[in-house]
Amino acid sequence: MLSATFAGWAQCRLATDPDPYDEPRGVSGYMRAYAGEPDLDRVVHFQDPPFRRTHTPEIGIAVRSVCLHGTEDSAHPLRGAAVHLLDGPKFEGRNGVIAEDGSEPIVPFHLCLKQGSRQLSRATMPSDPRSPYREFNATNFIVDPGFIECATNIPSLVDVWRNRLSLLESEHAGASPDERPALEERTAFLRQNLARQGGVAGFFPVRMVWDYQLRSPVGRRDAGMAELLPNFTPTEEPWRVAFWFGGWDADAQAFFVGGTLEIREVNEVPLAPLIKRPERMTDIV
Amino acid sequence: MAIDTREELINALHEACEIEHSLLVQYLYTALSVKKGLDEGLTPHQQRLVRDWQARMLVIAREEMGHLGIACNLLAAIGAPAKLDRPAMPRGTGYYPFSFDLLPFSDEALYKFLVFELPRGFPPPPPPGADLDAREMQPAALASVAPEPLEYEYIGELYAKIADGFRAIPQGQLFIGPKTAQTANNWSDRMLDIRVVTDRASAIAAIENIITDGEGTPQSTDRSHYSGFLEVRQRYFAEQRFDAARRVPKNPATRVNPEADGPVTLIKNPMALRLTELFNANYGVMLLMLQHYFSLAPRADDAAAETRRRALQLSSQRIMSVAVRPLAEEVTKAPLDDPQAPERAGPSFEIYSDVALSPYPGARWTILLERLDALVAECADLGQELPRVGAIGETLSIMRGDLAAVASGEL
Repeated sequence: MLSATFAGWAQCRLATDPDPYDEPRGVSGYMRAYAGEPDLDRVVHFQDPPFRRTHTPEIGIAVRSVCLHGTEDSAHPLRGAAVHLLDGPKFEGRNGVIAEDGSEPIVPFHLCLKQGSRQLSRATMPSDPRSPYREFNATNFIVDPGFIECATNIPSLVDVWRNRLSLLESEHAGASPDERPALEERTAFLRQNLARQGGVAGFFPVRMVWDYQLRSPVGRRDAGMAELLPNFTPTEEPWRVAFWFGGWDADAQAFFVGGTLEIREVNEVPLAPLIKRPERMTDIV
Repeated sequence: MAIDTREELINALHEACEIEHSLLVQYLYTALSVKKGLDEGLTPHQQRLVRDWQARMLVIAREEMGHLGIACNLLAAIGAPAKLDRPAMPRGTGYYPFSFDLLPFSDEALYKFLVFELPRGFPPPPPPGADLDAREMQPAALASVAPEPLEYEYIGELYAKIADGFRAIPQGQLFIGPKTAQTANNWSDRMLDIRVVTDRASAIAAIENIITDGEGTPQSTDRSHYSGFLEVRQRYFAEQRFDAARRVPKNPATRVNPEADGPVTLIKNPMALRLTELFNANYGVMLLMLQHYFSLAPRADDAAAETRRRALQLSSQRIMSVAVRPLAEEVTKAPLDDPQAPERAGPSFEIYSDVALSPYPGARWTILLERLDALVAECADLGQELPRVGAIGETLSIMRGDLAAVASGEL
């Protein structure tokens, strides 16, 4: 089996309750497109978002390590590959109709690893195309401050916001009349939340967890896939990707991502699943 | 006329429900009429202002929804059903100096809203188009000369009569409705602040909440509806009353209603007409869900009935976010008649049929699900040209599936 772990900052600009989930500017919720900014597009961007606010983390997720047959391979071609989500994935909770906050599925989910002109990709496929959402709901919602702090190297988002606010306030005098409204909205948001012990910065230590089976046909759109998987023929059986989103920074409209993609070889026999109820080490199988 | 019978009290509460409902749809119409994008001629500065004004008016509209919920609880407490239909617009009322109208964002609309929310003892606001003296209109200055507690100049009289009715009728005879038929303050929107009514004291307290919520108290007038509209109007004046609204009409309608008290602006563009009818149909289904919700009074040991009731509550709330409000915004972008002309249509909030439940409980879920099926089908058809409407239909289809499962006992 090959397992590739990936991590980095992602972005999603979306409205929040009680706004309609597809509200383009944000009105009643705490997430807004400020004056002059483009509409909220709801898309989860793993790379190069079309718009990013100043003084916010660089968006980009990459493969951090590759483990092949139980041994880390520091020279593997997939190491450092850019991780993309194709086809405009979105959180599809739809104001709780599909899923409550913290449980939303990401649809579509088409994972793609790119290294130069070569790529490796595969997507989820709904069991029933007429009902393509709920089987992809998040499996967990965890308040995990230590984990998030380790992953992001940010012990306090409140401190980050204070520094950011200071930078933005220093830019006010030099801002053009058209830039000033957004700058004022942004600094007002930061000030109001900092005055309430962080306010929505309280979401920072939380992470949502998903566990997906990628089932689309292997290699259909992938030029150079064989070069990314030397001496390795991937199975057509589902590949597993377990991942989490956390460290939500509402001002940056960004969050941290971590995950692992597991690919078995074509003749690799997976372990038989254990009995259905929660397994114990002492179970007789 | 003093209220001293249950029937008179019910009639007065019906009137209160109609007024609260009519106020909130007027506020919603005005709020949803505003422009959103720079491509509509707004500068970034104006874009920020307009969004803040819209947000403020939507908060006030949601608080009026809370008042309507309280009025329905008062009805439930005395054994009467919720009152969720309302007269057509435009509508003359005996309580205000002018009619209820659906108006685009404008000085005229803001002036009328200030009159609707005028605290007792406050002078009326300057009429539309007048210069506004900011010093004279500061709520804090006026509060120092206003009586305590503040009451509505207009609707306050109605609620005072209702409160007197609750005092006059012996409470042992009056409070006969099941408490579980009322709505609790368990909606996701914390603005609603809904009170449950169990006796005379809680009824009077609930009425006080409605009366003082709108205009606040002398200590906190800055949170009142009056103060909210005042701030918007003053800022709008200071910004030279720029063109903040889409060209939506006064009192749009999909058809002539002989019960309306004045002329309407008919929507003639075929696509806009279908879209507005779809909006109205969604609005009607939302009201039907709420009527059904208020009709259920589960016993404490009936988990299945509580599940069905909770499903109706959640669906009525969610359909507002996933269908009613998005469709309203789509309608304001559609042409009123000629696609080349600048005039746009508007969400007319027409109620096409009585918001009434079938007298046969076994038929109610069937009827609700049929109405949802019709919405889903129409969304699918219109969605071929308007992708957002297609997505609305998909969401409603999922909602319909969940409600069907709850109704049948699967969930």
